[in-house]
Amino acid sequence: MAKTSSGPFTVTVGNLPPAWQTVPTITFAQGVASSVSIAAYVTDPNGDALTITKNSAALPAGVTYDAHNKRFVYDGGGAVGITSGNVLTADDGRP
Amino acid sequence: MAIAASNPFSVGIRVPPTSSMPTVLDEINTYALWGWQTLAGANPAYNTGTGLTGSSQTQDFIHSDTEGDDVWTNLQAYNRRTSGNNGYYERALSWRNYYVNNFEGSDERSYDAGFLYDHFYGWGLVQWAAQFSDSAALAEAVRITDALYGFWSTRNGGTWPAVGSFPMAYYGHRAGARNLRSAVAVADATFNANAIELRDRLIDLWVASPDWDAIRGMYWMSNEQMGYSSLTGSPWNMVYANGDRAVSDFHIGLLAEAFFAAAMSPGVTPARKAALKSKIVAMATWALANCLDPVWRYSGPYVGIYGSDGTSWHSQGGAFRSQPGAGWDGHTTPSWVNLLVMGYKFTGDASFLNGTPANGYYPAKYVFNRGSKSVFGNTTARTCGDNEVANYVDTVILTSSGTPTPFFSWNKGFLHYTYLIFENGGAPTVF
Repeated sequence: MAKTSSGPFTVTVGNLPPAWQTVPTITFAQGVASSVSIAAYVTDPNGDALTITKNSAALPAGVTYDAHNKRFVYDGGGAVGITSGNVLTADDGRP
Repeated sequence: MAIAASNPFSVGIRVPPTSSMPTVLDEINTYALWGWQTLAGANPAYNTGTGLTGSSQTQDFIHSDTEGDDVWTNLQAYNRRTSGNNGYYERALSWRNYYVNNFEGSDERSYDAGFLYDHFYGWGLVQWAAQFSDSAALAEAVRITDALYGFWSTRNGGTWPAVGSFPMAYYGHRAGARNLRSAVAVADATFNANAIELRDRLIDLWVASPDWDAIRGMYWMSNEQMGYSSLTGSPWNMVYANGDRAVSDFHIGLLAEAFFAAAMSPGVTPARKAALKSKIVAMATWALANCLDPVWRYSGPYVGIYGSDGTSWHSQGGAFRSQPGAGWDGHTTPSWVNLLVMGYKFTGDASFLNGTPANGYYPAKYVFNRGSKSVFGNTTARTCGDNEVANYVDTVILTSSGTPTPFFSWNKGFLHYTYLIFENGGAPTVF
């Protein structure tokens, strides 16, 4: 049979959303200033840089979310406590 | 924009991991306080855990010795020393690697699950994770506790056992004790909801367990377990229906440790703490009067009471062995030491801690002295004199070939059952 072939072509894969692994409870030891990175819990299939924001759920006193460095930071001054309902959203900046 | 949200999760601040683990210096100071002389070779350097890499610990089957959380035990031995301790670190690391890389899905995990999960640990992984910022170790500890949660939450026909009617010591105490100890550690470190529920339910089950003897102040095993332990046969001939009762002494040591950890946990309610302390003091009171055989002044693998008069018996006591040297083993005797010290710590009554021993009065220091110097197979030989120390409680033994053998691999862990007596160099804190 006579065969023909096309010329080279490019397959374009559409942008895929970031993928999360389960984020466990983030804990700090009272009186010990420290930080916990959450960067390892999310990846982008296209390798895009991600912006990660946090919802409005309250954090324990002394704990803040550092979006620039993708981490939770504890200043060592807060008392024992726990808050729930924290959700992070990853945005790859592309449609 | 392509966006994705994480699962909802919690953020918390917990009480930092605290270690009341006395150091070797505390142990040395305790012996000095008692006027004991340390013999040469009591604490040799252990610099290299030869051959302990990767998953080699699969050869140390968890269902047998060392009867302890090997990550925890080796980590304590490492932390208690400032030099000559790297071998302990390597052993702890090897066990950590085994749990993280090999334990889940292993045959021995399945095997032990068939024995009520009675050798499932995890609190060593929790401490390791905190000390070395090791999230994989903590994740494995959580997986272990999740497995325990799955077991207990379906144990009674698909649901939790009923508080007040479920006999926690039926098949012995160690399963329920170790499972509680694991749940306490994971709950303290992570606020994991399953661990918290498991911890609280196990406390409630223990406190209201029908195998608690409120008159004597002890949890007894079942008739069936006495049979499995050969105690219903010769030479003991225990008869449950007549009121004869028995308990494994090292199981009580494990239960005391679990109750103590729960009573100290910041997450446990004051009512539960009070109930646990009450049980500890009651058990310590019984132990103070009954834990040693009055002839041999050792405990035995099993201790109990005669139903006829409530007096105590000991499975390797003088009345039960025509040839006491054969298979005789005093190594479980130190299992009572921490329980007795807890009695002191919760009451301030120094009679739990020290005093002139007599028949029917066996304080912690005396029990430690007797048990820590026993010689396998010989009721009268001792490793050293009463005012001497042949080996520290978690040291290694240098064999004739020069190979270091961790002491706790064959004596089931003196440290785990005795460390409280070394608090503050022999002056334990009273709460």
